[in-house]
Parts: sequence; structure tokens; C-alpha cells
Amino acid sequence: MTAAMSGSNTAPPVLSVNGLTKAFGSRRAVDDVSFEISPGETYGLLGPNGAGKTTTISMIAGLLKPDSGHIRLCGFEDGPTRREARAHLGLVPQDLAIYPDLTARENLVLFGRLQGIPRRRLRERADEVLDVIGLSDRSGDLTKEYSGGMKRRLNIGIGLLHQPDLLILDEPTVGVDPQSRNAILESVEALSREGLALLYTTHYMEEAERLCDRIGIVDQGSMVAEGTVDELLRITGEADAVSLSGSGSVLEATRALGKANGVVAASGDGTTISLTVADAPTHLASLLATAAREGMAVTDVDVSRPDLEDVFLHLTGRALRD
Amino acid sequence: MAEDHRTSDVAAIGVMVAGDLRQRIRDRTVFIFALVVPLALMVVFNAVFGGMNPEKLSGVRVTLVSEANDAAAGGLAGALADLDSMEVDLTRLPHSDPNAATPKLKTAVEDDKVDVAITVPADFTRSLGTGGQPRVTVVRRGGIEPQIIALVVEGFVSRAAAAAKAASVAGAEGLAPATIAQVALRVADSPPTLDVADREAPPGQLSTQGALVAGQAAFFMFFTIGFGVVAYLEERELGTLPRLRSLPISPHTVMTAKAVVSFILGVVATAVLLLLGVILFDLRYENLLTVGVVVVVSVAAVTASSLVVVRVARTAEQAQMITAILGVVLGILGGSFFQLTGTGFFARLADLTPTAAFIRGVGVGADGGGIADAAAPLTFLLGFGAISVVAAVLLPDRSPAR
Ligand SMILES: Nc1ncnc2c1ncn2[C@@H]1O[C@H](COP(=O)(O)OP(=O)(O)O)[C@@H](O)[C@H]1O
Ligand SMILES: [Mg+2]
Repeated sequence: MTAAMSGSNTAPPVLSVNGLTKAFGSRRAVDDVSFEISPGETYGLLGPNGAGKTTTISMIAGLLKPDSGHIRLCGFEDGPTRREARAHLGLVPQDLAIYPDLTARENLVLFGRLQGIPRRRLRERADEVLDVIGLSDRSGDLTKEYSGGMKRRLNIGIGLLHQPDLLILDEPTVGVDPQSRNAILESVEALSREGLALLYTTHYMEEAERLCDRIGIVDQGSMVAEGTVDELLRITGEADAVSLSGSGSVLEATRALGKANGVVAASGDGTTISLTVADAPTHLASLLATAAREGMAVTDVDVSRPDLEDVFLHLTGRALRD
Repeated sequence: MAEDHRTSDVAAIGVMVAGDLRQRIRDRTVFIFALVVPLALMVVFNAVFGGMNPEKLSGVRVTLVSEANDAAAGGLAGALADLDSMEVDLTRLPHSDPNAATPKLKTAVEDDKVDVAITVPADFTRSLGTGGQPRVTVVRRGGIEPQIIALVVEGFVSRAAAAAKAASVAGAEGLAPATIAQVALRVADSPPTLDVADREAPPGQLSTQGALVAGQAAFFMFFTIGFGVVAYLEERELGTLPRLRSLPISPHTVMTAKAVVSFILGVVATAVLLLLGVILFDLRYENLLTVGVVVVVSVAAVTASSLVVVRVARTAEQAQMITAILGVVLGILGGSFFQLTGTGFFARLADLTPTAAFIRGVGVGADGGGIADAAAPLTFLLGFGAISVVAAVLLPDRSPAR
């Protein structure tokens, strides 16, 4: 991934978003969001459901008009409104966007024709894409007979067909089995290696960590932090994550531990307590004592280096996944 | 890296139309609704109301068993007595009569004491009014006349049931069940203009079967055309609409493509139905050009009205519902099933439907009239279409964004 990034400092960004804002009624779905994506870069928008990821993407793809803000897309000012700019953009919507009564190949050909790809070139290109998404031997079947994972892969393939400069993937792994999920992640990595710029949204921090060169963390419409994974992890002050599981007065223990020495943040769900601790080895004994004093019987302790989940917790005081 | 391709909007519309037609043909619903159902209805209606030669028919003796004061049974008795094409000698028996038992009736028919025995259930009226299919038993001897009686009974029941269904759709909008039952009976009871009696049609008016074919074609035109534009709303529910709108094509091409699909489906289905009239019922369209122009203009006008439906409806299901209600209401008013006679308010209203204009226009063409002779219905249809387009443009989109 870093190889793909080389030279990105000089080339103009494929996407540059500035002060993007969109409200639905009184609710600000996207609030003053700004970021840039360089050629070949994989940029992640990480945030929980309802954070405003799809709304942001809809504005970039020209499906929604921003209330304010500015989008420069593939060298075009106000890009989303321009057909020339949209021609350089590939969109993989969060909801499946394929025709059930057409075969995979017919879907590809239909969207390819609408992209203006000449017939003969399109035939080759459809073969290439079918190969990439692993659907070559099922290309003649109606897509309504496909499994969820196969539909997802075709959904991605259609976005790739016209070899865009920027491919937007909106939560492409939601609702698929682990095996298909891995296949999707692998093909996204392959695309990135080929030098395609990607905008990838997800609420799975492992995916963001695995795929993205840079990540913007979004919550309630706002971008709360941005950077490489390492940069983001540093935000927590290199704190460790401590997780205590057990029974008894877990909620009371959570509250007490939140105020304990060395604890930066605490959250709990009734059986497990997640703590962000400045220096776990030093504080662990006293934390366990606090838990015991509050009436919690700890059965399992887990200490780990911080991850993006902790970063999110640190920044927002809430867990990434609800 | 990206190759620079360009699509013209016209090419894009062509691609979308081809893709849509392929899907519509594959899922077969359109085929069934646009051709099979109207064709089946034509054949049934024709068997019931048309195609007989009155001179050759002899009288029949009919026994009708029902509750003494059942309203629907009274309606059925009236319909039988009103048959101009044959003499019906009707005897009515209550269920309590010893001769009303089915074995007794069978013996009576076998012994040639009666030609047809009809038994309707005790709750005949209520059952029809609530949209049910009451079980009616018909015992008859062989021969054409008893068969006609059986078909008239069948036609009466299915018409009442269909009307009750349509009325109960309206009932969802607050019509009382009692009113629904009344509407159903009125429809079933209304004198069938497609009767054997009015075979000699005045100039410019269609023959019995001609009106039958044109009426059914007009009625189903709404459904067929609806399929095309409802697909627009379906695409939003399917999720393909956002993808289409992200493509380098201008935004209105998607809706335009759907309208073109509707238009093509409408013209093909209507033309095939009118042609089947030629093959099945020996109809003749003296001036094909006039008939063709009437078909094209009617389909265009109805397509325009379906654009309004897409604007007003929030979901594909709602759009289908509105289309069905429009089709039934305009079909009933405009004479798809029977003509509203008289000069009252409803008769005037009937003239102001695309259905009536289509039937009149086809009538002119069938009679050899030129396009100028069909000016009145054509002008009406063009006006109807123009108003629809203006309404579709002016109405705000009620659909939820995205
Ligand atoms: N069309 C819409 N109308 C009203 N509210 C919307 C609409 N689309 C999204 N929202 C709201 O905007 C917020 C952001 O939604 P979304 O962008 O879909 O989030 P995400 O994709 O991150 O899950 C949510 O609170 C959502 O309910
Ligand atoms: Mg989303």
C-alpha cells in the first residue's frame, strides 16, 4: 500500500472535500467534513451506523446536493454535478445495485454501455471483471439465484468496469459470510495494489486498519480525527486496553473503575468492562482490587495494545459498535 | 488510467430501454396482464354476450332456487328475463320447497320438465357484497340455449364479484360495506350493452365484439403502461437508481427511458389485442391508419398520466394500487365493460375519459373514417396527455430522497 502512495505528494488529489455539510430537517447528517484522497491512496471513513458516511458519499457521487461545502473530483471543480467528472468515478453503493432478472454478464454489459464503453472493449472488460470477482463460471446465471456474497462481489465488479480513477465502496462487507468477506477484502487489496484510489467506508475497525493508508474517524456527522493508523493510535496517549469479564456488580465496578487511578476511559455492558488504561502493568492489581471491592467477581482479564476501537472510545466516550 | 468514454443521452436511453424490456419479458407478469388476461376476458364476454344468432334460438324453461327476498337473486332473475335473444320461462322456488332439493332438480332436468335449474346459496347477496365467490349450482340439459343461460349466470356472478373487489379497494378509503355490496350489484345488474340485440351498430360505433375488444384493450392499457413506469419506483427500492444517477448521464434520462418502455409495451399489447380481434372475432378495421394513430396517441396519453402516478406515489406498491384504481374507474366510466347510457352527469363524465375516447377513435377507424373524422377523440387524448405532462412536471416529487 505504501508503494502505491509514493509520488502522491506531488500529484493533485483525486478527491478533495471541503466543509461539506448536509442536514435532513434539523438533523445535521454531515457537519463540516473535509478530507483529501491522493492518487493510489486507500482512504477509510470509519464510524458507527448513522455517522453520516453514506450521506457523505452520496454527495460525492452527485446523488445528493450538499447544503454547503465544496467537492473537487478528478480535477473538476464542483465535480459531482459534472458528467465528465462522474465518468472517472466508480460507485459501489451500500445497498445492492444489481438487476435480479439479468445475468451477471448482462448486468455488467448494461452498466458498461451506460458508461459509454464501446461494445468490443466491453466484452473483454466484462471477462476481466468477472475473473477478478470470481464469477466467470456463473456469469450466465440470473443474479436472483446468487448467494449474498456473490451479489456483493458483482456489485463491486460493476463499479470497477470502466476503470475509474476513484472507486467508492460503501460498507461492501455488511451482511456477508466470513468467507465472502475475506474474498472481498482481498480483491479490495488487489485493486489498491494496482494503484486505484479508494474511498472505503466501514464500521469495522479491523477492515479500516487492514486496508486503509489513512483513516477519517466520523461520528454524528463530524470528522473527529484523521491520520494513518499509527497516528490515530497515538491519540490515546499509547494507553492500553484492559477488559474485565465476570459477574456480580459489574455496573457498579464500571462506575468505580472509571474514576480509578490510571484509567482514561471506561465502558461496560453488564458482563464485560472495557478500560483504557495509561499503563496497564502498573495499575492492573489495584484495578482488580477496585472491581472486587465493588462486588464484581472477575473471571477473565485481557490486556491489549490499543486499537482503533479504543481511539474511537477515547474520542467520543462511546463504543464504535453499539 | 480511465479511458475517456462518452455516452449520449439518446444512446443511454436506448440501453436502458433494451435492458428493461428484457427484464419485463423475463418476469412474464407483463405478458400475462397485457395479453393473456384481457384475451381470456374477451373470449368469456364474447361467449356470454355476443356472437349468437337470435333467430335460431328457442325458448328455455329455467328454475331459480333462492331465498325468497334475496336481492342479488332478484337481480339475476331480472338479467335472465331481460335476455332479448331468447324467451326465458322462469320459475322461482324458495330453498324450503320440496322440489328445490338438488336430486329433485336433476330428475326434473332428466325428465325434460325443465331445461336449466339454478341454485344460489342462502347468503347469495351478502357473499357477493363481501367480495366472495358464492357457490352457484347449475343443472342443465345439453344444447346451446341452456349453455347460454349457464354463461349468463357465470357472467353475472363474476361481474358482481369483480366489482365488489374493485369497490372494496375503494373501501380501504372509507366506503361502507353496505355501499360496496350495492355498487357490486349495480355493476352486475346493469344491462349488458354487449347484448345480442344491438348487433347492427350505427356508423362510427363499434359492433358488439368490436366494442368488446376495444374496451378490454383500453382497460388493460393502464396496467400494461403502469408496469413500465412503476419500474422507476422499483429501481429505487431495488437500489439501482442511485447507481444509475451516479453514472455520467443526465438525470432525466432514467425517467425518460421508463416512459419509452411503457409506450412500447402499451403500443405492442394494444396492437396485438386489436389484431386478435381480427383473428378471433372476424373484426375489420377499414382504416388501419386511423386506428394506428388512435392507438399511438392513446398510449402516449396514458403513459403521460402514469408519469403523474409516479410523482404522486411514494412506493412502487402504491403506484400499482393507484394505477389499478385509475384503470377500473376510467374503465367503468369510459365503457370498457358496459356503456353508461343516458344524458346525465355520469354519461358526460364518461365522455371525458381516455377509455371512451379510445373506443370512439377505434370505432371511427374501424368504420373507415379518416384521421380528420377522429379529430374529436384525438384532440381530447392529446389534451389529456398534455395536461398530464404539465402536472407531472409541476408536482413535487413525493418520494423520499435517496
Ligand atoms: N434521506 C434521509 N432523510 C432523513 N434523514 C436521513 C436521510 N439519510 C440519512 N439520514 C440520517 O442521517 C444520518 C446519517 O446517515 P448515513 O449517512 O446513512 O449514516 P451511515 O452511512 O454512516 O450509517 C442518520 O441519522 C440518518 O438517519
Ligand atoms: Mg451507510
